[in-house]
Amino acid sequence: MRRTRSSEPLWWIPFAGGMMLDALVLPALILITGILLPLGLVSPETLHVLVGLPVVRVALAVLIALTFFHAAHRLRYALVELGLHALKPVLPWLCYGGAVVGSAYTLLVAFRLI
Amino acid sequence: MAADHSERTCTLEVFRFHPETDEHPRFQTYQVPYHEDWVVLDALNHIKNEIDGSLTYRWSCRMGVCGSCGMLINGTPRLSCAAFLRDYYPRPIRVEPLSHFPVIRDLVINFDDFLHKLQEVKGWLVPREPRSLDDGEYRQTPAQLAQYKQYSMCINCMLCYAACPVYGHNPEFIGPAAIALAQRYNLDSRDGARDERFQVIQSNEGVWECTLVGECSAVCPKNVDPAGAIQGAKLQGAREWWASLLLSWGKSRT
Amino acid sequence: MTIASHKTKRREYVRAMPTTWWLQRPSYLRFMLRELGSGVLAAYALLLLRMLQLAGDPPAFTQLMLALTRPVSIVLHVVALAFALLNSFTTFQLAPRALKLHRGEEQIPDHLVSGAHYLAWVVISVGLLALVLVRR
Repeated sequence: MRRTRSSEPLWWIPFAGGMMLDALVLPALILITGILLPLGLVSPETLHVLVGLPVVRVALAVLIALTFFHAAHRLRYALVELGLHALKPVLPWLCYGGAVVGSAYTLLVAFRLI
Repeated sequence: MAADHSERTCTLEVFRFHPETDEHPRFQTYQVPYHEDWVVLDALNHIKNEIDGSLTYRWSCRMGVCGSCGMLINGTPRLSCAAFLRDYYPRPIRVEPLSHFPVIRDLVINFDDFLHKLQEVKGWLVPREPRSLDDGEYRQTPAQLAQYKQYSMCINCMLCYAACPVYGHNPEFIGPAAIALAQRYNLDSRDGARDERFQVIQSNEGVWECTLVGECSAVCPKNVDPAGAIQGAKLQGAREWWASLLLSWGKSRT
Repeated sequence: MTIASHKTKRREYVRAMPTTWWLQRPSYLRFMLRELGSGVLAAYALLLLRMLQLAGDPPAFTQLMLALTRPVSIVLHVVALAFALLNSFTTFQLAPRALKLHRGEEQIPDHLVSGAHYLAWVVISVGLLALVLVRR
């Protein structure tokens, strides 16, 4: 009929992965950098050592990239629902484009290429 | 049950709209007798029979299986035959037509859009292969039935459409009940039209317009869980989308 | 004989959705906060990105760690934590909607599916904390 094929399935898997990963690890990470560190229960040295380890860098890069896709998918719809109906055609490009660029940059940083 | 001899009254504020005389809708207040066992539908019937015969609304079975009497009761989509006065009394009860549908008259809405969508998703069994009477009846295990049974409980009351803000903004959205119905057949072992239905529900106006607000499942009087049907369809659609992408990459390299 | 032309009196009334639709029900507000919260989480991810970036520059990294001890950082983190928890709870509550697993004709109950997610969350969180907490 007059139904348009959707490209959303492409973005939905990284979105869903990001949503779940954020749900599982972000509260603890925010607690660490935001509360435990200022309280002295976590030492800056520990964090410095950890973000130098390749496995940690890759894990963080995956977390950051998927978080970008999580936000991109949600905001792509929410901004329209808040009243910005005129932006509906460009929002997928802006949001997913931003997530792709952000993720690429993150990977480059993680592998110390930037 | 002991007779309720009280002379208490309950206030209803009812949405009125008669296009031949009204420029805009208005609310009309009625006092109805309060009974412990009355539902809003009883109150509306009392109004129509005893107070104001011009009040127009849909109803039928009065027991929650026909799906005719859906209305907004204090802003929440409900079946008027399932909303007890005692749950609201003594506060006034506001009765309006289901949201997100055009109003024809008083509490009566135009739901042609919903009917078109039921047809578009092919809400009926399409046999996997041609069968004759000699083939006998279909056989289905309890486990096969369990795959789709929940989605078969829909009574087409449209409370989910009234609750869904996505449909409210975009009437092109196929919507909760139609997608749940599509999945009811897609998951039925006897059916063979899944690919055709996916053409419709995997479109931008299908499952991908849904942002999982979840209000559809919250208001459904039959626990169909249309949100669940949509999520399942998204998962299926996304998996297949990625699988076919990876397969075509694989093919192009061999 | 002429056939009288009949003009219908039917005129449907369409009710518009207000821009403040999401403020009208608690469930709509929770939904919108959940959606917008994802933006806050993405902002936090930028902090993690910064940490990755500065890993090879010890003085700059130390500056960043110092900045995290400032009150404004703590306040922002508390806000981010609220949205992160909202995401966690809504995700775990909604997991049974997507994960309908049947064993024969019985469907695995919703609370078991949600419960498994909460359990995983606790285990992972404890693991992360154990990794970084100062040992005395």
